[in-house]
Amino acid sequence: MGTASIEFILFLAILLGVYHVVPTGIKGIVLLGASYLFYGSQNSTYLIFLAVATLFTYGSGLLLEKNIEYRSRAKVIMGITIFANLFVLGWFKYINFFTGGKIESLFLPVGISFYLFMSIGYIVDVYRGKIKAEKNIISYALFVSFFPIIMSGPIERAGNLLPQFKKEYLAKIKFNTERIRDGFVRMLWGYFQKLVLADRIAVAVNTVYGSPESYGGAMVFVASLLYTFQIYCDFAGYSNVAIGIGEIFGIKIIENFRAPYLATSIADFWRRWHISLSSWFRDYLYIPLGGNRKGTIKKYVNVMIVFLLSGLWHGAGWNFILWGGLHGLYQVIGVLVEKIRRKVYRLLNVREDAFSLKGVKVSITFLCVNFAWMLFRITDMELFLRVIKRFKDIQIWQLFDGTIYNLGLDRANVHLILIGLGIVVVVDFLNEKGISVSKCIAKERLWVRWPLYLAAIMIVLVCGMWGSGFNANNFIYYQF
Amino acid sequence: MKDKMKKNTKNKIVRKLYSGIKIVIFFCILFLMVEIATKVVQRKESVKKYSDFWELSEQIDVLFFGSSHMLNGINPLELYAEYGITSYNMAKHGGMITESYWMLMNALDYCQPKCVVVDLWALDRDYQYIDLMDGNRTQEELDNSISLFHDNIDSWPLTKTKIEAINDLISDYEIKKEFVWDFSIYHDRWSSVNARDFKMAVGEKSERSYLGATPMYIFESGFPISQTQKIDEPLAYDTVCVKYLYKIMEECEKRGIEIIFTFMPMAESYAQDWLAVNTGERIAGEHDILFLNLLDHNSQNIIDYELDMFDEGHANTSGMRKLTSYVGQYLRKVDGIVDHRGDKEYQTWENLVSQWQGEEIQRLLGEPDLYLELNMIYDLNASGIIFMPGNSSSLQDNIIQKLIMRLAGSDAVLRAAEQDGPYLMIRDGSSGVMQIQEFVGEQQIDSFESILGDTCYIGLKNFGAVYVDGNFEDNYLNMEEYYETQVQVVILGQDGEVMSKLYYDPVWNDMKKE
Repeated sequence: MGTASIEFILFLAILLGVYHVVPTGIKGIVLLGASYLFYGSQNSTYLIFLAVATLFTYGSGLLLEKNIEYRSRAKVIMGITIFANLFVLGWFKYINFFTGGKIESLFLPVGISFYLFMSIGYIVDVYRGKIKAEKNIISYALFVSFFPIIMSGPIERAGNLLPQFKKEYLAKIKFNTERIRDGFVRMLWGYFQKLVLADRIAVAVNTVYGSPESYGGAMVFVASLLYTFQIYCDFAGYSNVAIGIGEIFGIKIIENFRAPYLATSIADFWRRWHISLSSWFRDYLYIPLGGNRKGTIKKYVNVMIVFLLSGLWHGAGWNFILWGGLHGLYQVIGVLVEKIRRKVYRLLNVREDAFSLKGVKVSITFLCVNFAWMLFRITDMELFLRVIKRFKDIQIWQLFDGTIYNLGLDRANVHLILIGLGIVVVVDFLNEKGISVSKCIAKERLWVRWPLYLAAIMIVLVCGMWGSGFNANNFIYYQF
Repeated sequence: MKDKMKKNTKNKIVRKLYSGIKIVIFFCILFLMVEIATKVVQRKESVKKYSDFWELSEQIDVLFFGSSHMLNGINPLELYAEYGITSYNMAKHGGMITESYWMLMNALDYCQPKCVVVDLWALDRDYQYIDLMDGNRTQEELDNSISLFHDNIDSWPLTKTKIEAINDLISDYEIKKEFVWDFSIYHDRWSSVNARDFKMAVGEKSERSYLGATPMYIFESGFPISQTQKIDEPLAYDTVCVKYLYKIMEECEKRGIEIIFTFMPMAESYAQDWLAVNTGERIAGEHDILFLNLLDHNSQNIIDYELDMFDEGHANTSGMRKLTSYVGQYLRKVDGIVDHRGDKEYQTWENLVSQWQGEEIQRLLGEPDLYLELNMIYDLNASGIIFMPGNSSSLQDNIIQKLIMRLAGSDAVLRAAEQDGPYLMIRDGSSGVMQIQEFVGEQQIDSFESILGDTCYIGLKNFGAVYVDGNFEDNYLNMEEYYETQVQVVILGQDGEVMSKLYYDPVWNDMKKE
């Protein structure tokens, strides 16, 4: 059962009914049962794996808290727990990569990178005393397996999610049509990004990357731009669906994206892109490594370590490591040239908060990110070189001669992508200005609100790439 | 205070009730919109095939089941025109007995036929699931198999029987879903919907259904014609299709429906066809069922493979006419089947037939393909003039020769070919019996009687003229503008009036019409 399926929508509708009907005391059990049912529907073997991983960290947390006064003992418990989680993650996800294919894991449990990172975050927070170890196994198991986030995040923090799974908190959640509506609208926006845009863009991108020699540099550049939006719509789309589902059930899930392509620097980009992951790396890797407190060189080294590992987290492949490394390099260069940049601004008499300068910064950042995504998209370095070589032969006319309508999509589909991306950019821009489109719509009168909601549902249903005809791609982040 | 509390509680209930009603209305509107969208984006093949079924179901006496051989072989409109028998062709491309069984079960929810005709092609197939087939098919073949089933079943309302059919014929859960709610697959058509989709979504019949049949207005030649040597053995065991054939027989017996087996003719047959035929004969013999075995060309020579088929396995419209007429002879003898022609309650059938016949005539008056035109003249028993000037390459065309010989009932055209023409044929069907007049070689006949009246014919190597009643200004053949035309066809009405003049140049695949 994928999140973009009719079964899932039915599952959600039934769960919503049951959740609001059952006694408050068992709401958590209902959510846990639903989460295990959902995860088990992917593959029942994964369930055993999830249960064992949950019990292990749950027990470790309790043991750690018992020994919290004995720091060295506590540290050992934390270390063993982290090591065990990382070992399991490494075994299932990276063994093939690290052994050059000599050893292969039998399977890769879906969402393993997400819930094991959440488990590690939990044990470190207990060790640091930021939270108490969770005694209620239901609450803890629900924290690890909560169905909207288990497959593709966001990587939640125990401090945010665990209190919401307490009986007392769940007891306060009533059937509230406004809240459910807002959650549903958020989901709808996510489905629009994922099914209408990301999966549709994927068709054109795959066509170009499948045979780059058939296109000039201009069209390859367009494909790279499209991929930049594809991955955003894909992942942000899923995050919006997850956050929307959480809202429907009265559970607040952390925001994961904040108009990332309006970032003015790479550092800013990482404060907006996959926030739950970048903040996880900051809190549980960058800071423990010393952060920026141990000198400039150490800071640069720490940045590079974090981004190389972040790349590896995204996939067991050199292209992912290079992608992460490139982002690390961007950041180091960004800091190195900061003084020069400021001098240039002064020389040119440009205010740092000037709109034009912001525009230039956003554009440069976007292009840097765009280039890095090319590394992310390719399947091997040979393809990357083939793609890059195309820039020697621009063939600018391909932008105007209708080539874009021959990338596996007809005119109507290409126009839909362009309109859809326009909407995404406008919504992000408004969000940046603090204007929430969904809240604006919610304030409108019924005769304005309803047609908009109905039209949005129909666009997703009719134009969304779902159903057996398309074998809608699994969300790109499923395997991370 | 109590009153205020009461009022608050009452307000709360009213608000909740209002919210509840709003939610219900919202979902009703949404459901309606999805329903409309489903109808618009749906592929229309199935809607087209069954567009008349729902209206006529209660009057249907005969149902035909089978594969494309049956689909292209029996025309219910022709059957009604000739015998007054009401029928519907439920066959589908690649349709096996398993699918025939389920289409019968679905149809029986809506009608009570007196006779069911089942074609036994592919009786040897030993698999049930059309999405797996025999396990040795390419993905393309499997996709095609699924797509063809869509064409047959999509427009049927979602009933218990339809769900049972889907469950029984499809193994894959994901594929089953697309049959239960076809919007899940067709919504992708949004970018290619056109006026036809919208019109048909609101029930407008934009195309003729032929009561489920697919007449092939195609004339092809050059396909293989080779019959495998007749074998006598039946299938070694009861295949899945044989088992489903028994289920059909059982269902028909239970409901008092007579059953007839057929095996449609094939220009190229294989050993498995004989296995199917022999098994069919055995079962028919055991259960006293009529079996119209048309595979055996020696005993049932009603089809000219070369002229009546458009490929090695399928009849063209000429073949369809003959097969329909042949099967009709047996159907009229079935208990309870009566001639409904003239019955006021069956006016819709009369209208459909008139409309179809009108279309056939329109086609005859302007068919661009010469082979097909000659075939249609034969099928519709049309009066007319056919002229091929001297040195016309068409005279040497083997297929044209055969078609002309069939029209004339003589081999005069062969003599014309030997002499390099010219050749003239005048067909007169005004009396009900077709009169043929043929003129071979260079000659001038000053006066003879034809459908046109007192006729004069001048046939030279490079000139031809047909004058009537001494009017030498008005040549029925056009030797000026279309002097170099290979074949001239003049279609005549009942009183010899000119309905259409067609000028063919088969070499350039060209036709001009006056």
